[in-house]
Amino acid sequence: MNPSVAALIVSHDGARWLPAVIEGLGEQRRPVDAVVAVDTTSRDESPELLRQAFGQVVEAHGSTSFPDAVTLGLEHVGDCEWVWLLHDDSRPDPGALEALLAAAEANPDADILGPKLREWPSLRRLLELGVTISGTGRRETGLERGEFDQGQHDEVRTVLAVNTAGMLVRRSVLEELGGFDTQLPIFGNDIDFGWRAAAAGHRAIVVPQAVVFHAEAAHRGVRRTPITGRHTHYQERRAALYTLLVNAPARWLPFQVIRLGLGTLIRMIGYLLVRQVGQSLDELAALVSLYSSPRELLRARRSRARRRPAEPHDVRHLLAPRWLPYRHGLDFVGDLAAAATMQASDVAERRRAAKLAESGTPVRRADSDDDEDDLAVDSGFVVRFLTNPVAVLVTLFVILALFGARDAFGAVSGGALSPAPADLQDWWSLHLDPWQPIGQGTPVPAPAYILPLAVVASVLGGSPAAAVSALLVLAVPLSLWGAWRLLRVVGHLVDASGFPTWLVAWGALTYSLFPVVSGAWGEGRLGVVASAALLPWLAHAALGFADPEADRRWRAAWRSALFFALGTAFAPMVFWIGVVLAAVVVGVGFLISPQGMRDRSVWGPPAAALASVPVLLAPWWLPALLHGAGAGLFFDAGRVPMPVVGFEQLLLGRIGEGGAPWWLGLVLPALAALALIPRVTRIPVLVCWMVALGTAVLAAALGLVVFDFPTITTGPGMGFLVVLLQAFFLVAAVIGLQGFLRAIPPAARWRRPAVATGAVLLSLVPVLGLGWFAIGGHSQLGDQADTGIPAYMVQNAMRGPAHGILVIRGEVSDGLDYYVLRDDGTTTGEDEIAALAAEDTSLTDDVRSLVSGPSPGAAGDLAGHGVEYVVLPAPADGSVASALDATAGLTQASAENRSTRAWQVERAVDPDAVDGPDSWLRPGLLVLQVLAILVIAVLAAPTTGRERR
Amino acid sequence: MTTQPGRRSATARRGGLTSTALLGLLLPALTVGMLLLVQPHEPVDRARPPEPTTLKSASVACPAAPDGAGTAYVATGQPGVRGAVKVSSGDQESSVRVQSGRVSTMPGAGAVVADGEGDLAPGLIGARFGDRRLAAVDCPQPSPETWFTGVGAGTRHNSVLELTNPDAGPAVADVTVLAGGGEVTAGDLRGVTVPGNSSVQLDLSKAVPRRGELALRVVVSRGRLAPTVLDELPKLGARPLTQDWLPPQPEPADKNVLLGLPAGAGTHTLTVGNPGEDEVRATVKILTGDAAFAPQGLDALRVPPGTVQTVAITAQVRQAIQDGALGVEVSSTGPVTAGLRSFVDGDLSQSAPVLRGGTPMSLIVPPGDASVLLADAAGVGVVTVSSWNEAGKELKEQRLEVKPGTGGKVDLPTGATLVTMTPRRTSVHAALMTTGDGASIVPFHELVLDALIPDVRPGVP
Repeated sequence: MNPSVAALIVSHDGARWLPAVIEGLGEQRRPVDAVVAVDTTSRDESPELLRQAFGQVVEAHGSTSFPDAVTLGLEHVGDCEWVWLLHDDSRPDPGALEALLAAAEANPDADILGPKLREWPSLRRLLELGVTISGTGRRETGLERGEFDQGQHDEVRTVLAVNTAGMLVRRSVLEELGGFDTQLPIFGNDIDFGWRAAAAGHRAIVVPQAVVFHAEAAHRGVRRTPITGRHTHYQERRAALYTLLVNAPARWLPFQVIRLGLGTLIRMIGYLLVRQVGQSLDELAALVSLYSSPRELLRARRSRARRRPAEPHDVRHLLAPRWLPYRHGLDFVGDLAAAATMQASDVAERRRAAKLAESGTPVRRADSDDDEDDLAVDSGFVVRFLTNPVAVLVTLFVILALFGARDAFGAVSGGALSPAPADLQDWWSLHLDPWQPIGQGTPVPAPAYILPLAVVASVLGGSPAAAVSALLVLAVPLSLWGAWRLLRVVGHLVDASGFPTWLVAWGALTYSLFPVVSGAWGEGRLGVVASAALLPWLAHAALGFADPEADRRWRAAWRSALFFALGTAFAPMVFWIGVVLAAVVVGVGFLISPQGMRDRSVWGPPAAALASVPVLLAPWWLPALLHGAGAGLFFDAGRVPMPVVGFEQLLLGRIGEGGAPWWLGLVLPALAALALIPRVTRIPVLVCWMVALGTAVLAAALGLVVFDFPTITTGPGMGFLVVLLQAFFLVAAVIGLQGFLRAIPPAARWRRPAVATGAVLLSLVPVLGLGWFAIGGHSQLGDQADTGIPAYMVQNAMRGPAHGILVIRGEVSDGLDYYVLRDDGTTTGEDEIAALAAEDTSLTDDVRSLVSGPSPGAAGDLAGHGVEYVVLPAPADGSVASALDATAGLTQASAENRSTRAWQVERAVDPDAVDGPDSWLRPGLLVLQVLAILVIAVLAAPTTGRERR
Repeated sequence: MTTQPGRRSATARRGGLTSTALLGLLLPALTVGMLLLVQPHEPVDRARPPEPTTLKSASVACPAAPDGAGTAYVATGQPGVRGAVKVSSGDQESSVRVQSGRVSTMPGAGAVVADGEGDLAPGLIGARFGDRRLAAVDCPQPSPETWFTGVGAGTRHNSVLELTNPDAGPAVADVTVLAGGGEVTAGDLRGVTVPGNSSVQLDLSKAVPRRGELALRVVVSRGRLAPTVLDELPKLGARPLTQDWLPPQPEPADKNVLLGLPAGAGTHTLTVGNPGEDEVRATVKILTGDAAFAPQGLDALRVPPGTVQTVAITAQVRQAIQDGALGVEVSSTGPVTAGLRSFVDGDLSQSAPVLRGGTPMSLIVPPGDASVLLADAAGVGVVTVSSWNEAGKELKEQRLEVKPGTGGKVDLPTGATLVTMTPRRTSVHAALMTTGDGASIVPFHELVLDALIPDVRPGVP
């Protein structure tokens, strides 16, 4: 006997879709036996349409929920075995019912059957193939976002629940379970129903052969009803929490209550981070609304318990796997990162679009990225990779660059780089503590780059050495990536069609080698290396100031602020040159267009970006100024003194001694000068030269500055100016090359050979640089350098900061230097503090009397200064050594190296020798810093577009 | 789009340089000009000389008397000073009165140390003379590094290194030996420990037995030590044993002046040691009172790295002594050490490089006919030589005018026991040569009057 099927359509303001629904119902190859239409007081012509199609319409009140409507409809369904639920926005495929019934016959134990839901009206994107719920209340379809239906899911499966749109359910089961829960008026009632059915031992299957197209009008907020209200998200979330709480087995309940509470908090923070305050509040409201009415939940649980068999069926295998929420978390972070990196990339295009819109021309995409995307979808990754010469070359380049960076793998130090501390805790206390037990103790603050390094080290398993190594190893790839993105945007700004890919590649590869060929990498100058790697990213963010939309300009400001602060942390010159260039640009802007510049959203963003830097770095510069270490505001990260920077270094881009051959550095300035020849691109090249001039002026001014400390005399750290100048030369060169390309007539027969020859010649620059780097042997980096201090003393020094080692170097004839080594010696971040700390004159006096000859009491004074050992590293000055030998209170100590002399101070050290006062200022500044970082990060964050519109 | 550039270029041709072209010339020029103005801050390595201060305490350590025969003396080179110095020899401690112009005897035939405090610290000097034939040593103050060149370690020429520790704690020395074939490893000479207030004698013929001349480098790695070397030519057939001390050299130098050429029948042997990494060429000149000349028949000496080379200069010297030669000068292409051994009339005497001095320098005069040899003055000046007899009476003061590169010889009055030589407006190399029963040469050196307070400042790790 043929089973009888009654279709039940619930409609509310669905006139937009109803004609298609009715048509789809009429086209069924296996027609329904009866149709019951329930309309919940639509304000459009829905009732009319339904009446025309099915004759009779059950009218219900406008606030009738979907469960109530179904219950109402059931009363009007005559005698039938199956009920086929349809929404007013779900159109069944002609074979849908036929396939469902066939599956019902094949699976006689199935009581609930669901079709494959695809996007309205007839797209191939899959919406649902049965649903389940995750531990955090997320509706899980098991599909990728926007997955295409290619028959990949076409087997009949048992599922927890199926969507009510197109659900074929045994009438008996529907009645036995009491229909849908009226507490779930619109959303989530299907999952709850499925869960209850499964617990009662009924089976739900999804039948992919049956297809229903669904518009998801309510979910997308296209349709607002009195029930959904304005807060769709609230309703959805409340439904999800309700479903979990009322259906979860009693023994899970306490855990579930806590978990959902905490989960809600995390989700709220997540929504706040992407500036979706409404969603965040919806989350909270949903939780509060449920948790404040436990009686309702208990009632629902009791009613479920009544309907369940004594031994409920285990539904766990139908729920989403436990790890799923965490994967979604990762996906979310990934999306956020992708959005953050992409958000400035199309500033050029938006500018063009804005210009065209002004002139009334229709907008057309400048390049054909879409086609590439389609290709990307169609062919496999490997094929795409291998057929793209640029991708292969870049990969090869990166591999060779990583090979060239082999010296920097593992724990590394040398040149201007001190070894990283063994313990991450050291970096955190360096950053957090107001008093540093370095030398004789000092309130000079830690350099600002310790915070980012400590964060990176925390991510890398708590290893500071790994953080330093990662920075050095990834410097070239990071610069490459950043320069590539920057040059693409610059290309589009200069020329509608952008630079050819090979030109972008040449520029990016040449730039990315800059940290190494300059010699900064080989000398371990972290400040220069990090700021060089950050520069293209910063420049890319700063291009957002030119965006036609004020909102995007502001977002660019916050993004730039973060990069500015990060760059300044490693090389303070980033900030100073930023101020100079911003002043120049804004000043020129006022000269050219005073009216336009008066708009606060034009001059405001760059000003805000720069003004944020002092706030973001407050725990560094403010204490530095207060404690007489203001010179630190001009020091690059790394050991003091700063490298010598003069004409040669600035022009050829060399820092320190270990750079690539100098003649290689001639190419960029020469190309930048030649770039002025092509007329088409002369203006942007002139802009580059103008900022290069600004940089040169600042360099000349800073060249006059000398910092004279008791410990050392040095000029300011100008490594970043070298980088910046070279970057401007490079951009000018790339723009100029584009100008040359455009100057060649496209039809010229010699065009191809000329361009090819030029490209090959140009490629020599990065190729020679890379070859030089890959061959290696230029760096001073290596494993932990031998300090000449006996190992057992260093071990002893680790007992506490008061167990210091007084190291005296030099000869009596040329003067002696001393320093006190504490803990694990001077590690990354402590060099600057040691150089900037004020001199302890009483210790200097004591050391002087100690080395001048045997003097009674001198040894005892050392103990008071927190000195337990005295060391004269090889070659020790004999007269100093003999004076110390003859000093009472010092015992000779052994050293591995026979020409190193060492003594132990007999008196016990003063344990509080290097302790200092606490400060209320630092905690305040640290809190300010954290808040500033959070606020600016949120302001800079892109809109994720996760809310479906 | 193609018309625009064309039009622009047409204007450019008409109007000469466009403003962008002008900027295109101006901006790079200005940039490069600005870059040229950048003053690189080159790190300067400033030497910070120590500050002198009055010496508060000083020690001189005299070696043991050869075969227990010989006397040690102590005196001060400073005028108007009197007081007592502490004299210790092993566990024996005594006090010896010292007064300006007088030479006091110190008891004991073993190694003896004199400690002067306060006024007696600056200019404290000591000496020990042998009893057999003329042999003398200027008792050294402890020093971290000392060179002795021309020592022997064989049966026909042997030397004994004596290390005296003036302090209570132990001291350690490392002795490096250079021989004709390069550096010699000798376990006995590495890390030689000298207990407090005692001395250690190292017989080189036992420690590093070998033929040929050697050079020793004594580096004190712990504590303070005063090293001396007693050189001897053992009894050979009818020839009796002869001994003399070998003066020390503080460090290798490019130019070494060795004074004292005893006249008579015998041999003169020059030994040059090269502690450097490269071969050096050393040329020898004869120094007379008013000239320096290269002797005939003496080629430049090639000294491979890490070796010592010996050259006999008997023939050249014998002739020159008659022409008034005072010493030899060894100039080399790298820092070397040198020693000149004279075996004349059956007596051994040793000379070593003398440093130029420009301040008053004093020595205790061995018995015999003594004369002050001066060479290679730095400038025009006067050298005053004052001497005192045993009773502390000042004898006739002598003056010698010197010109750059010249020197001379001043014979001391008979009976002189203490001599002070004061160069004025110049500095000279000077040595005291005594003849009589053999010969002995003691170089002058500047008195230690000051302690140096080094410039101490904090440094960066």
